[in-house]
Amino acid sequence: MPESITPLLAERLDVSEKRARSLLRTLLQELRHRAETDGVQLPELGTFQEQDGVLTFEPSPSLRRYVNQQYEGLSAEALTVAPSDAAAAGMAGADAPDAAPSSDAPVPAEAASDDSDARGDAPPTEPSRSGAARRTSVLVGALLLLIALGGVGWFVYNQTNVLAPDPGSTNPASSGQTAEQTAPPPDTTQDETPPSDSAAAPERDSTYAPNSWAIVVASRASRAAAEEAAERYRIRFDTVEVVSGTVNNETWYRVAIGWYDSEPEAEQALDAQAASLPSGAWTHRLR
Amino acid sequence: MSSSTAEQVIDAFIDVLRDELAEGRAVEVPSLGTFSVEHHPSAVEEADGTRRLTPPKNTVAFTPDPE
Repeated sequence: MPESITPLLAERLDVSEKRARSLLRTLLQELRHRAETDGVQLPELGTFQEQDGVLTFEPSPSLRRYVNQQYEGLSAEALTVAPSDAAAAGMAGADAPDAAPSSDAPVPAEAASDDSDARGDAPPTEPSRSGAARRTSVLVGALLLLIALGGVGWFVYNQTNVLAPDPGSTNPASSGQTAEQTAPPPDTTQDETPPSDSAAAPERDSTYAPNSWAIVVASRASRAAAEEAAERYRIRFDTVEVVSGTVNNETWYRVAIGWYDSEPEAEQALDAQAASLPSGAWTHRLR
Repeated sequence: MSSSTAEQVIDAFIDVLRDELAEGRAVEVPSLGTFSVEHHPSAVEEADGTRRLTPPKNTVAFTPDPE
């Protein structure tokens, strides 16, 4: 039920309703008279015009925006969902006039500005730049997430060395075969392609064991030969030992440089001193 | 009405109408007509193969007094 403007005007002007009615009558007489001729425009309200005996009113852009304050900044949003979902979304937006803007609004956009704006009744209907900006921010976020995941993966890899090659596989001669199967004849070469005594080796899943990991640079069938090889390395390294191990009921003597608390530490040392070590050197847990 | 009073009345007339309409309330102006606000909820529109969800909006309606 529409409310009469008379008491509202009286309250606004702080006059009696009778006085307000009188003032309003005078105003409207002038308004209708002008509407019949050229039309009359009331600033920030609209234009009255009488055509063929019918009074029309065209609201001003300012008034249009004023009654859409709660939806200011919203724009049309392109839908990528299935039609049925989109229809449901449209129905979900069919709300009461006093509903919260967030329940209606597809997306916020730039706010309206001045009164000279000649837009229609609707808030901006072009796909807003904020939509593109949001897509860009999503891409950037995804990229950052990938980088973060990569960093975490790199960290985990370095800390756990879960993907490191099997210590025994560093033996060049063991490709496709186990180190034990490819054990070289004793004292045949200076280069080191010794077998690993997997039978005597501790569990590999426990990479941390204080002073148990070493870099093996040579393996010989006799202790004397191993000691001879060890002598050459003692010139360059402080800790060089000959450690015996059994492979296939055969005793081997390894020249070990170390010691290190964990396999990663030993691998790191191997990499750092690769230039001073034979190419067949590998890390191994010997204690 | 003096000129200053006329200006005050016009301003008050405009302000009252704007404020009431902004609140979604209809206002009847005797011997002129009734101003009201029509609400249009958001809707899905399709143009050029693109489906868009348009925002809701309010429009001002005017019904002249039949006298």
